[in-house]
Amino acid sequence: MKILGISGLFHDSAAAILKNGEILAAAQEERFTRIKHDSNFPVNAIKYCLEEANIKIDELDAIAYYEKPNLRFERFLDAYIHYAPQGFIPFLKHMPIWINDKVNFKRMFMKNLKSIQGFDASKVKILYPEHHLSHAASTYYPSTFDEAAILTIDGVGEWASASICYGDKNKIKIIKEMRFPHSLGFLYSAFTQFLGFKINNGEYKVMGLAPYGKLNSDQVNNFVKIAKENLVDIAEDGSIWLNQEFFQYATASGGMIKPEKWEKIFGVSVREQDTKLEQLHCDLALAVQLITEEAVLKMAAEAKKLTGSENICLSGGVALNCVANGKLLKTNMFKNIYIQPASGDAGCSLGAALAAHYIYFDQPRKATKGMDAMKGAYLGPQYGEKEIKELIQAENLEFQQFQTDQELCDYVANCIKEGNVIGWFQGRMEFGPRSLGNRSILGDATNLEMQKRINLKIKFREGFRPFAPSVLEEECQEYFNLDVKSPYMLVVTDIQKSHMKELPANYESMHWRDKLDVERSDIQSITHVNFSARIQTVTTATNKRYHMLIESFKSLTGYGLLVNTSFNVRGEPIVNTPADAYRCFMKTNMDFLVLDNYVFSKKGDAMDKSMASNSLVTEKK
Amino acid sequence: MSIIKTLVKFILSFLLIFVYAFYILPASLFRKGNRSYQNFIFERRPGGSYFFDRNVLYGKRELEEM
Repeated sequence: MKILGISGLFHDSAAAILKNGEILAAAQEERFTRIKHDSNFPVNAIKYCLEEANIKIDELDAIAYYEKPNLRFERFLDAYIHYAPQGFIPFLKHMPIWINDKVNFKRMFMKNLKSIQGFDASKVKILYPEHHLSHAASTYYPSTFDEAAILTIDGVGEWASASICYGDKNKIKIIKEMRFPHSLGFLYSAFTQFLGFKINNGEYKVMGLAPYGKLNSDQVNNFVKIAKENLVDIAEDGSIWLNQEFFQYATASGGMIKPEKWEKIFGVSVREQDTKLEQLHCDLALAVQLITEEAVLKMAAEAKKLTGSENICLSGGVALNCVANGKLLKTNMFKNIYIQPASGDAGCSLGAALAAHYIYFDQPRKATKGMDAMKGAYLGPQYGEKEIKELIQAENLEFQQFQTDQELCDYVANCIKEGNVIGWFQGRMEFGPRSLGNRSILGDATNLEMQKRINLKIKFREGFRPFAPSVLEEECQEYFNLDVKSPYMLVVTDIQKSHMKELPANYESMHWRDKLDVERSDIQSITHVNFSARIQTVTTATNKRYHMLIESFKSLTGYGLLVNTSFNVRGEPIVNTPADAYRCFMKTNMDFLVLDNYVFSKKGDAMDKSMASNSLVTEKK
Repeated sequence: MSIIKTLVKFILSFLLIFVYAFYILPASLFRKGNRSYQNFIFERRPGGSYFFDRNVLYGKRELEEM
């Protein structure tokens, strides 16, 4: 059984391929086109998946698209009817595009597929699982559970904006759903816009800003109260209602919110992009974070009540809210939690394919034990010696090549210890928004300046944003209050008290930005201002070389963890090829670039020759 | 070519205004009678739920429909 899954045309287009239920490849289109959140038909991602799986498009048993385009169009039209006369101008503006791209969906879909390889539509079945079924399938089927409650929460699919499902063997049953325009994802995006960040991109920033808010302060409590009185009602089962008098996304009337109304109730002006952030912005970020957590925890409790399961699988954009995930974990409501690493819409390509395999073709499912079926999320393209040598030739680069992994890791670990920042490019690219040690920028977590340095001189992004650690799984509890695996960096938890430092008495009353400069722990660069950290646990089973690198660093410093952030700069997708990595390396103040076992330095002769062994090759092309 | 494109755009805009004026606006006046009305929740439900019951076990048919 060979199935291709496709998602996209709105944002984050992607493709995934299965053979007899095994996930062979998956990738986002943005990585190939270098357009962040690329919404175009994922031609490049599909080509890659077919090549990786060595399957011709005509050999496929089915192609699964991640939602029902007709149902989405119906919702779009109904929204205009029910919110008329609001939306007349947007109707005129958007409808021709919808007619072109969406009503003629099948024609456009087939045309694009034909452009990839000679494609005979009569030979391949095209399937359309619902958007939230695609999310649900993307998290339940790769999980290690035989049965589980499934909670999916995002912006919107066709009608649904959240769903509670139950997975049992190869079946998925949808029990309840929340419908457009009431959406937790949209509420978060609305605050993202109010705080001056880009929708579908700035939500992480809001999440990173929230810990600077003053928990339990009058201002935060007041913002939560105002939001609940005017914008949102959270029911006991976690479902929410959004007061459409304050929003304008239902008819796509430009942006998410009605700015004047928001300004009036909060007494705060809409923040313009790139203008100064103040304490009240942090408090607003914290307010929406608290509301989100309340809704997520209540929905999870409802899922527990409806299914009685001890396992829960999460997916949808809101499942990337690692803080809410961490809170859910702490409640011990469920014995086991699994979160799809590509929880955004890109992951729906995989979910659509899995739904086709298990539901449409009724294939038996046996949950993998111990480890999930995502292969560490390393499902993207791999580049080898050929591409690296071509780059060396083209750019006339100096390099060092290491013959063994141990020598490479010892050398790089020493570079990190000396305060250098490393572009680390290895093996297959990650699927999903997180870099998990194959397309990563690495640094020393104990270095007091590392957070500022990477944010401002390498990523060129806001200085307040936190960094996450990659920690040896066996060392995790030494540093963090976390007793489960977190291989996909999707859970936030506190660092252990033994690593915290005493804070100055005036810490709480400090200006929010000054808190960053206070020494909070001996792993300062990954400790957020509220002592939290977003954890990735690393094992030899999923990434042997990365594990070895952290072990080498531990043997040098005593610390079995590193700063790990995605290998990209602000506004660009994560690097895909060695050439992308080299361009990013040259544009930033990174010190070393490691492509497979080749090491490149900007420091010229500063490469430590004492590290060189007999097997080390130093060359200049 | 650009003249044809402009003409098509003009005709399309006219048609859309027509659709809005003679379908969407009247339909909105009788929205409670519209089939999709039940998909929307317009008012707060103090003490209630905003979930819709589905109870559907997904099968072949649900994946075939577009």
